[in-house]
Amino acid sequence: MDAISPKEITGLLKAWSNGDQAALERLIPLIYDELYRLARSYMNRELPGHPLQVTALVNEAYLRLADWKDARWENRAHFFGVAAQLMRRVLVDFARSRDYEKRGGGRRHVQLDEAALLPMQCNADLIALDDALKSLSAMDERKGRIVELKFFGGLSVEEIAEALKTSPRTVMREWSLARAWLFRELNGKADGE
Amino acid sequence: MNPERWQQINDLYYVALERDEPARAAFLDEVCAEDPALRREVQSLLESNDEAGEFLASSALDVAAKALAIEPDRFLIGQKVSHYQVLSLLGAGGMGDIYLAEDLRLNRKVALKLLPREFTEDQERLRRFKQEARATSALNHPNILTIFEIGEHEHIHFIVTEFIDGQTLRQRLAVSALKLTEVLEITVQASSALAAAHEAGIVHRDIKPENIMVRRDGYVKVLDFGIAKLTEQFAIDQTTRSGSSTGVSGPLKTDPGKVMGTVHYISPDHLLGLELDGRSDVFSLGVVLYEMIAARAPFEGATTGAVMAAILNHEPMPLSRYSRAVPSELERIVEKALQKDRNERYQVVKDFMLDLKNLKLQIEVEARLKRSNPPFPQTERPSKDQALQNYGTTTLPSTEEMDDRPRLKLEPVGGAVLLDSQFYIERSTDIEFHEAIERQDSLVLVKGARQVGKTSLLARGLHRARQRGAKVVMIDFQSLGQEYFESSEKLILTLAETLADQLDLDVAPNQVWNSFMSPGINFERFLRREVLAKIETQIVWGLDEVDRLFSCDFGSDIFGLFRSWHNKRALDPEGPWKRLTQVIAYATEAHLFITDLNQSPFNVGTRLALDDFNYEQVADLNQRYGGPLRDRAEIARYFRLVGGHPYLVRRGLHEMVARGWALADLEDQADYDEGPFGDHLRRLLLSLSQDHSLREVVQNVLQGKPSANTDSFYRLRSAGLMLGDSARDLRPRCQLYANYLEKHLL
Repeated sequence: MDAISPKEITGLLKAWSNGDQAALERLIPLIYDELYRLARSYMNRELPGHPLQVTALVNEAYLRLADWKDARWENRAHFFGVAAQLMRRVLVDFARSRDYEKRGGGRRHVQLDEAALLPMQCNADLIALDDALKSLSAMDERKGRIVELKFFGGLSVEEIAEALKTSPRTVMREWSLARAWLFRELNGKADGE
Repeated sequence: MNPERWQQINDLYYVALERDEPARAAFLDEVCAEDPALRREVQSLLESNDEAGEFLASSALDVAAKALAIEPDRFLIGQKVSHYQVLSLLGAGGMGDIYLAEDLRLNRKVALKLLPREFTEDQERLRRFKQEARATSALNHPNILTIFEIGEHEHIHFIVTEFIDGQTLRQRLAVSALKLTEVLEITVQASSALAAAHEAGIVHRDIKPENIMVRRDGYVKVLDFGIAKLTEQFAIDQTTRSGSSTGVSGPLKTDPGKVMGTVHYISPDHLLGLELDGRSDVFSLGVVLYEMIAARAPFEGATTGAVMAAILNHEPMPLSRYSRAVPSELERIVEKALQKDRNERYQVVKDFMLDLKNLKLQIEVEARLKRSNPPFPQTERPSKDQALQNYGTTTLPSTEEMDDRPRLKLEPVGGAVLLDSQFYIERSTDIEFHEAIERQDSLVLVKGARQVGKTSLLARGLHRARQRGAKVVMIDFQSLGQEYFESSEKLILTLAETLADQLDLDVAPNQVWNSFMSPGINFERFLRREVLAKIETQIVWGLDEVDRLFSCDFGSDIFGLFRSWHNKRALDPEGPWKRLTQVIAYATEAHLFITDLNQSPFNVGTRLALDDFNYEQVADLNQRYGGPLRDRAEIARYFRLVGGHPYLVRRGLHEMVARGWALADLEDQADYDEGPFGDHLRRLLLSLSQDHSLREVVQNVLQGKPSANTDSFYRLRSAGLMLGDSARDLRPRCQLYANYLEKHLL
């Protein structure tokens, strides 16, 4: 694949945020590349398991993808918002395709506590989470955004506060409630089935 | 939910979140006094928050990347490593995964092998490996795999070699038996590769079926020269570090669940840590040759240690045991290659090759004379298809992994595991059992809970004994009708008749029975005069399901009889009784009913208690079932569910494969009476319900208040129902038992 310059990527991101679906097609492989790069580092045990370092890495992934300082972005928050959305879209689709492939299409809800350890569950969880997140957003759009920025975007509480023009404390407690709600939603569904 | 309500919940949640108990509860009590539903809602969210733990703590990209990293099979496909585009996975192993890749510069297909990082950390070792690998490749021998490049990409070391359109010998052997001429041809070509390498001063060190490839056109390629140097050093480091150094420099196990390699092919010189030369490769290739004919390795054992001990001390079974068609010349060649003292082996691989070539020529000439080339018969694998007659064939979806057998044939689970089953897992008791029979011990007791593999073990022991020339008799008490248990006279006469029948004696017991003597004395005389006096070889007498006797009035008389023969032998070790080996198998569930522990039927003889499978054995069986448990985490989860109970482990894997279930499906069904384990669990409950005091103890254990006394503790434990080191520590044997018993007893 030919390398795409950060400038072009910025253009693609922008185009996609304006509704151009073809731009997404070109962006997906870039995120996959980042995903594989990160996975490879795990395989080689290059990464210490420290969450902060991982966050830094994810941020770096964005910076490699595009130049957020580009004038076409309203601000840094706008860029990260779009990038987090993109990440969500791509990762959930990715999980969905793998889940489908492995399970022959069957969907299921699984316990979440071991999610990070179990690849199969992880795929199912990402999909279930995406569904639950849609319900949350329908009820409380802002909490949905916070989860998207934090979990899919890998942004810190401070960065989210900046993006949403509010205080870190507010983000923190909204995040706590959103997370509790999602957790209950996902586990509750598992019980009900 | 309407926005106002949600806002209300939000407000209360935020305030409550900042308070600790009991202030939190007090706060909620106060503000929700009028609205209990609101309180429940907020409370439930607060609880979820507490329970959520690490939920969503890392980022999605990170979670997905971690997941990918655990599944390397798909990970690299479609990726570029240096200028190689990875196309598909060819095989995986302890030495690294091998991919089919396209060389983008030269537009040709290549095989790309990634070396695990732990093998490449020592720069000096890596350098020596590269040097040796290049030197071997430079020999340009048609039977040595050509290496194109040894490189490094993003800290991953990789080797690029020519791509062989074919199978490893291991895979080839899994498909079907080889003709004798094919066996010889493969060995000759492999020897030819080794001869060239040895002349250049290079020893392979790791000859095994995985390292020999057979191309579609019949060409043989030997792979991985010198690579053993990378791994064996690593293995030593690992064993030394873990404090269990054996002083052995073979590729040993490094961590649980990850087997670095098999030890079956390692030469004694290698095990003894001698400086290796070509004769070590001769031995390993001899093992491969033996396996191609016998369909099993010459030195076997349940554990790595047992295999190593066999390599150092045991003589292999003659090949003629496995196939009558083995020419004596081949027997001689194999024997010479497998000499433990390397000075008595072929001194150069070339001599080994020449002998094989001559033999092959001779066979071909003879065959031409007969104008036919009959297939090479394999006595060891005849009945695999028999298992299918009463059960469907399931074809697993084929994966890209080459070391998978092309088709997995399921066998019914329950009862004895077929002698040639690919699903039989050897345990340490297998070795102990075979050794006891080989030593001609007089009384061997095989005990264990129901369905842990007693009959399977018995069958294997008797089979081996028969192969070694012993006479074998087998009586299954479960197959005897109730009428035989009416009196001790009747049962004893039946036992004697069975012996006479299975040993092909001319005399029928009732012809020599003396009505003035007790049946026990009659039986003893019959054994001594008609059996032991007339048969010169060892007699192995298997008695299965002997627990049937526990519930019959004269059971102790019969046990007394068995014990008395054992004592006779002790008094006269060289007398006729020394040829009799009794093997008695019984289920320890009987302990549930034997209230007096001293009444236990036997306190003499060689006692073997069957172990449960350990984690690795479960992982091994999972692999033999084609891997329905997808990763180690799933295996661990499964292991928690059924413990190492052999029957449960196998039944569950079988169900998953047969029904295409995921682990979660199995978990869903596990504790239902109609589920896969229903019969087993119901019987458990049934035997438990016959004793109220035990039942009560179990109920208490389930409720977390242990109340067992010494007696009930031992009974529950030896019956295989519970585990624990003491009455206080008593707990259900596995999660499945716990779930099921909770459901029915609480």
